[in-house]
Amino acid sequence: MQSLAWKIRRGVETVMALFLLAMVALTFADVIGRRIVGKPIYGANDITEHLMALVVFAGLPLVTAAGAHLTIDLLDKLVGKPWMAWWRVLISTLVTVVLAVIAWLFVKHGLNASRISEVSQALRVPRGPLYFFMAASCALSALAALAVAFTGPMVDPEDTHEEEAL
Amino acid sequence: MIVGSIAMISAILLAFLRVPLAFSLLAVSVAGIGFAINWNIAFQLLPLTISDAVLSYDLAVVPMFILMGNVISKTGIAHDLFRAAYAFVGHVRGGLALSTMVACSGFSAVCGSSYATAATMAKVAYPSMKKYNYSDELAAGTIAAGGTLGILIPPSIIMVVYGILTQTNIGDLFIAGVIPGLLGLALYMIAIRVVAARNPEHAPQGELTAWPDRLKALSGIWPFVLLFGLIIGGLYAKLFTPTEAAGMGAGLAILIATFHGRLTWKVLRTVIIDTAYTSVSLYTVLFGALMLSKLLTLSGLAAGVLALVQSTGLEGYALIFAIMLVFLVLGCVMDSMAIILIFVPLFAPIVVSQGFDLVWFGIIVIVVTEIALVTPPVGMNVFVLKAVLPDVPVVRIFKGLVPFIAVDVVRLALLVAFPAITLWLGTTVG
Repeated sequence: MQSLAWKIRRGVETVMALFLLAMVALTFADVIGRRIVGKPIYGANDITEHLMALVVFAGLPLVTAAGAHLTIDLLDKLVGKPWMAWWRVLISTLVTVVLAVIAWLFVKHGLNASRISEVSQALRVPRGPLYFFMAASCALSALAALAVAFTGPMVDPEDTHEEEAL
Repeated sequence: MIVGSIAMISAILLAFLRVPLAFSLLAVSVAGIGFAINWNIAFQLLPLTISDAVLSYDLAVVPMFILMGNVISKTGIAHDLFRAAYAFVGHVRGGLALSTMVACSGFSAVCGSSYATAATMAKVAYPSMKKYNYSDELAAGTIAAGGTLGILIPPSIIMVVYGILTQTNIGDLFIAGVIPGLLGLALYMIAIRVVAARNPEHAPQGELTAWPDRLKALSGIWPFVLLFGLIIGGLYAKLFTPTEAAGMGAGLAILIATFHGRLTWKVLRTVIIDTAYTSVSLYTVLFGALMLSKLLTLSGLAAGVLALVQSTGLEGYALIFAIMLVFLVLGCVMDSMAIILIFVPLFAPIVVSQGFDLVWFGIIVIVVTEIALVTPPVGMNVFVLKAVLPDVPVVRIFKGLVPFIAVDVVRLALLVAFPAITLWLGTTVG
């Protein structure tokens, strides 16, 4: 079970990395095309936006499973105490509920977008499927948050993630 | 107003009790809007806010700049910068610390993160300073303080977040950060000189480098010149938008690293995945912060606080001073990103109502944040450094930081008193 989870995680990580790489390659090519050759790539901004959404929502279940969400750890010593176990369960429950609610809202959002045929600006890509993808990602993340409550985060011993955003 | 206040307080309380910041903000904002207005609106705003943010071209600058910094740090650019700086100033008293500071600011110019700057420079510069018998206080203090330049000298991830939250032009913020960043570098170098003059045994001299070797060391920093010229030059000349600059920067960084022969597919994969993890967690907290700012407006809390501030008669610089004080105090107990995410949406309308410039205020907030990164008890840079240098006690790092914090306060005062330092460069843009 654990090793299957790792296999899935590795697979999704590769897909996510490819999306991000594609985004960089696209922007690079678009800028060179526009500034040097005078031929921008049609709808490049639009594709970038979609790729970004795919990266973020492919990554959400991974970040949730890895327990890598930004957390204020000033009172870790207190919250880590054995008698605070109930509180940690409550935290996971809250995260699960929030993610489940977002998943449900995105299903509604997607249905609505399909009904009114909402499309992206330049390429007129329908928004509905994208919102359903976000909903699926949030639902999966909700499950991941629940699983983490029982098994602890999926921490990669090789990975330090020391490059932070700040 | 009452619902808004309760929501704000519970968001902070939950975050302190280890609820991931994104989820405490999201939960509280939705509940707050639900109670203050109605649940239908709350439930409609949530997916709208999230999809607007995730489908924003401007925000796509975040992962690409993070990627650029992560890739370029794999090329050994920090070593090259340090070597070049050492060749020129290494022989003076405190020369190694001065070189470290210059290399830190150089690295900041291709990396948007203060943690990454501190962690990378610690690995590069600390062993040399140890070899020349520098005191731990000065060595670690220099690196921790120098690392804070990472968020002021563009590109800067935290500036992007500020720009998104306040709807300020990210390119303008980047340009505005250049001179305050150089001012910071200059003041830090003065601080090192003062420490070196007062305690010569803390900072022995290095060796004099001959001119041919100097030029050779200088030629090693071409990737830096190329990247910096392209990004900051391109932004300054309005050749690209920040997102385009980030894409160009990341692409160029990958090409340079490949050229150096230091980038295998395996390394690139790891770097990109790391970048994606960081970006995803950043996007998630940003969703929370954007919802919170909607709550602040809808619940009337933002207007209420504005009225409250006006009733106290605090105006102009006294008000800015009060806000800075709040940020400094918060900086002692909270992560800098969290402070910006939660409090900038609350204070920005007040600052605007007093006729202050949001670009200028952004730089002030970031300088205050830099101070927060190195002050106890939660100076994040100090802990990053501690992780890389486990043998140096935290107390000694904090002790070594005192002179740097002192000049930080001087810089803050200068920037507040003379907004032109921040805003002048922006006025010269074509």
